[in-house]
Amino acid sequence: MTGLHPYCVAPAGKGRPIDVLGLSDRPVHAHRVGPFDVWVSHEASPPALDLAGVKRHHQVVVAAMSLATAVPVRFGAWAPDARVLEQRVLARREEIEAAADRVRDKVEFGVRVEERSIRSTLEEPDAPQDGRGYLRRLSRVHAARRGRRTLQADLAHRLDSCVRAVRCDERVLLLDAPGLIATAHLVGRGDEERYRESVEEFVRDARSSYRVHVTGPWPPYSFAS
Amino acid sequence: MADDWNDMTLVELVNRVVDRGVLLGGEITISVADIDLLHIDLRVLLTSADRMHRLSKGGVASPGAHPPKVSP
Repeated sequence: MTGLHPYCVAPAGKGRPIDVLGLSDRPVHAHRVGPFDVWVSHEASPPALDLAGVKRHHQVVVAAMSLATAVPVRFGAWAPDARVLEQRVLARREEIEAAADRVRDKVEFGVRVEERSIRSTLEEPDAPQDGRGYLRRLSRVHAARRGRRTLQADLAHRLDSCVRAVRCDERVLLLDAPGLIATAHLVGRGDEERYRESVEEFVRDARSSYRVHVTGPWPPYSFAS
Repeated sequence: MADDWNDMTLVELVNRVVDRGVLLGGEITISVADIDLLHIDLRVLLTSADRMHRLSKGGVASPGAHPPKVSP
């Protein structure tokens, strides 16, 4: 069985894959589908999810982004043949074109905020001995959850206050403990340094209480759909 | 772009490549057996800072108020 593994969708005729290998070290080529070039490699079977494959997928997307604005495809979208791939791409043509407009000449940065303690505030070590104890514990758990949500909202608001002037769009993910929030910011090419300076203001303020990780620039994965 | 693969960058990479990007159907069934050293945020809520702040101030947000976004 052979098929196609797509990496990203780029405008047609905006550059061909050169010096980049896909999964299983297969060559990557641009498959024309309507107004798009879909970067694909021929693979013997649907890809396994492993770290090497994830890295390789990302490297191909980065190579495409160096030539033109490309819309990243989620890992694992394997098509058994070119006809099926074309049908799937054309079925989402408007969505892909809208995504391309949204991410054109932009990159993504990520900010992840985590608790310093691994222990969740929602944990309750002692089992209740009776019904009243159970209800008290339930009340404490709900209060902790409300407090956690308020904290997440406050952190997201403080972060956005710092970067609002330079980011074009944002996505906020609420994480399970020990994570708190993971935010993706869409930033115009050329504004990367201004973004780093803006986010540093938040990092300086927050890192005495939380672990804060800033990563990027990434291809705009979080804004592709 | 992000070629310094420390643990946190790998977490961010996997979250992006596996959980985001345009869907073209035929996605694989995700098994985390080979990447169990990494934490993938598969149970997350997608919102915006503004919306979170408004909900928080209004006191109507709760963890169970929205279904989690789960990858295929």
